[in-house]
Amino acid sequence: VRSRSVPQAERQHTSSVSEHQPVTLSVHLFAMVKSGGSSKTSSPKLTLERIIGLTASTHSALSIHPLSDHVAYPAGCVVVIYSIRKNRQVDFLSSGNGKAIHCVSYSPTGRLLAAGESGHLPSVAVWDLNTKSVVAQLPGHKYGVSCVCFSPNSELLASVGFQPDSQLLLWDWQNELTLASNTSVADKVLSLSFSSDGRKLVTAGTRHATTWSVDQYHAGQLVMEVSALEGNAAVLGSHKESIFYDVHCTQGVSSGQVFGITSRGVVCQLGGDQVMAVERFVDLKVKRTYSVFVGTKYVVCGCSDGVIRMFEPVSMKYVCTLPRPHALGRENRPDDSPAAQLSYADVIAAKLTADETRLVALYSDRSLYVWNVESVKNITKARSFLAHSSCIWDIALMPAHDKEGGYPPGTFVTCAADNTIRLWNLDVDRQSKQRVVVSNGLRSVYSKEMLACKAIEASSEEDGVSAAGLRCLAISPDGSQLVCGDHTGTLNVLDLADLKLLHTVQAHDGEVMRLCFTATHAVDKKECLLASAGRDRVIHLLRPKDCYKLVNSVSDHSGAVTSVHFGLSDTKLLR
Amino acid sequence: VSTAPLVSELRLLHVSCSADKSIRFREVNDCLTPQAVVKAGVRTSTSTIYDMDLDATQKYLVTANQDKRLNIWSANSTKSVRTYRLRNSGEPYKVQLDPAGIFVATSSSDKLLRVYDFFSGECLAKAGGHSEQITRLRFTQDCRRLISVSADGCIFVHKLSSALSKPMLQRLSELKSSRLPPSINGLLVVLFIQLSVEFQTKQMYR
Repeated sequence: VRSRSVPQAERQHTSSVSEHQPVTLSVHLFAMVKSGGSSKTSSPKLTLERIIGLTASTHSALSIHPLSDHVAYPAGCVVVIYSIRKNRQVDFLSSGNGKAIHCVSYSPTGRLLAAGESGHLPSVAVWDLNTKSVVAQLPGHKYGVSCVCFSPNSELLASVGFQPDSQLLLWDWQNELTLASNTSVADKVLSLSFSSDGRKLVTAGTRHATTWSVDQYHAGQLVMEVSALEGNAAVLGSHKESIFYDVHCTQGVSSGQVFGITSRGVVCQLGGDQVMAVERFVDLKVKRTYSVFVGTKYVVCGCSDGVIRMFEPVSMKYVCTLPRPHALGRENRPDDSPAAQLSYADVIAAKLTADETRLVALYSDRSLYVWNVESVKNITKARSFLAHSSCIWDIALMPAHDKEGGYPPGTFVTCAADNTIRLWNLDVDRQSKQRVVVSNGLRSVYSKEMLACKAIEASSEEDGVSAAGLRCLAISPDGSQLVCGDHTGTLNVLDLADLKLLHTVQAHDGEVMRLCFTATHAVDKKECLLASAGRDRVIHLLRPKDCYKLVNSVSDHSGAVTSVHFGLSDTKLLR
Repeated sequence: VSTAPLVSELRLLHVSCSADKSIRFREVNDCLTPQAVVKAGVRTSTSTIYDMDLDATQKYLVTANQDKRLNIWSANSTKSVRTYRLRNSGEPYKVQLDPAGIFVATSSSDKLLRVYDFFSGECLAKAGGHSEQITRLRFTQDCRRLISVSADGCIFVHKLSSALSKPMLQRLSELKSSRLPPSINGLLVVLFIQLSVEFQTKQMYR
């Protein structure tokens, strides 16, 4: 009999987690407090309160609880559980391996959640959601886990790895054993689904859709040797050359049907007892499609340019198309400019909740929308969350002030490589009685915690540096202006009241590393100054009062200046 | 100089650190001419300085060094006063002091953030979850949260327990009561002593 595939140390780790069951996972894994003997009883000193943003890149990164209104998606190394009804993040799950999570999946009863990691030698982690503890860690893939799926009775777990090995593994997850595997899949596998009776497994990807018979495997069986799975390739006919982005097996009434979606904007219905074949297909009249979800009432297809189309599952009759999300670059409010000039983010995942009244959609600009689809005649937006779509470089806090109509206290600003500056406030809910009104009417209508978003045009596109990327931020001590330095060495000065661009200053040859204003209490008598430090080893002193005119430059450093600060001293400095 | 008002006797300090392992202290004069910036001191560290922050009293600087050390410098004497070796940590890329100046938060190459005691260098808490490097950390002004932003595009908001936030708030209120520049403070003390002396003499007189 083959011994357990998990190293002893990791087994001990998981068992120790389950021993401390009352301790929530966030307690156990996020803050290991080290403070003498009382550390076991004392609460953690840092707990995750909120995560703004997500790292979902495919449809397998979104999973909806089969019974409740919980939605799971990855953000870094954490799985965020968001409750639609409560409108807040209720849980943060982390395996503690420090690897980014790529895909998540709830079990059919909703008691378990599986997540596959990306990176070298990743594992699949399984959580028991009642105790919030990791109950299984399944290492076995080599280059990242592309998707995971539970069998209908939750006993088995299937997972597919990234290319080049694209390994398909079938797990007895309770005993952490590999039951069967297939390493002969050469093409990229993008999707995985169990049939409703649990006897078949369907995978799909680049130029293929395959059914695998998993009838002979069950949990708790003795494993003499990891057996090889045998697959039957589906007859794809005219869709032979397509990339199948997603497959979904139907449950319930119309069970036994398999829906697949190809990159060319076609949704196919596959069927057949022995050999699966494309029985019929519908052209969605879109450029690309990314996800398909089959509920009892609707088939939901996520397509490019923000389009979500819904069909009836049996007759494949067209039902409706959902409204589009915000146009790219119009994150604050809808614009009246002609629709032809606007572009929209692609829908990478669109799934229905258990009662099929809400539809959760993830877009390629990392925004998350919840649509109310109770009546298809009148589909409205229930919730929406916007986030930075790439590397965030800097964060600055708005100085506290008593001005009327300004930004509420606790507002902070971030800038990112996606060339946007975003203003956030986390306490908007708490202050909702007096409805946070930003006097200038800039308040974004698409997001509650994001007050406003400002895109900065790339300054030197002619040099071939189109993606400038905003590198650092500074807010003037009186809170009226914001200076943002980018990768090309340009400083953009914005008026914080209306987010209009006031000045641009070409300050450095390399990226701007750090910006710093003189502190508040220096302003009273002394003139306010801005220091900007660059990778070109120079520090510039600029005078904000004088349109950010250069006052002085210091270039005595022989390496990139990493940080710069102003301070006050009451004694003469020693020379 | 002695006739100038009290406030302008405070000198504007300008400190920068660099990948060339040096930390440079300068004074900025009021006139803002090309001669306005006066070099006051250069100190060389043993390794690349990744980041630097100034504490709330503007007396101390903390730098994060490549050799896994936090260095604390006195801004007035431009000298290194203390060094903390960071055990079981990656290279500290970013360093941030809380508004009260009693805790130091660092983000390191192992993608974790840690909170250290500024006065002892003891690691008090650590947290993770980011899948890419943490690019900047910030304590909120109300001492309730620590916000970290990362190259993975996510903003993580960590709640500080009362064990961390209480001493911060306490220290902050202490600082606020003595927020006036030190020289004014001294003057007030003198006035107070004079008053109390007068009061005592009056009492004696009675």
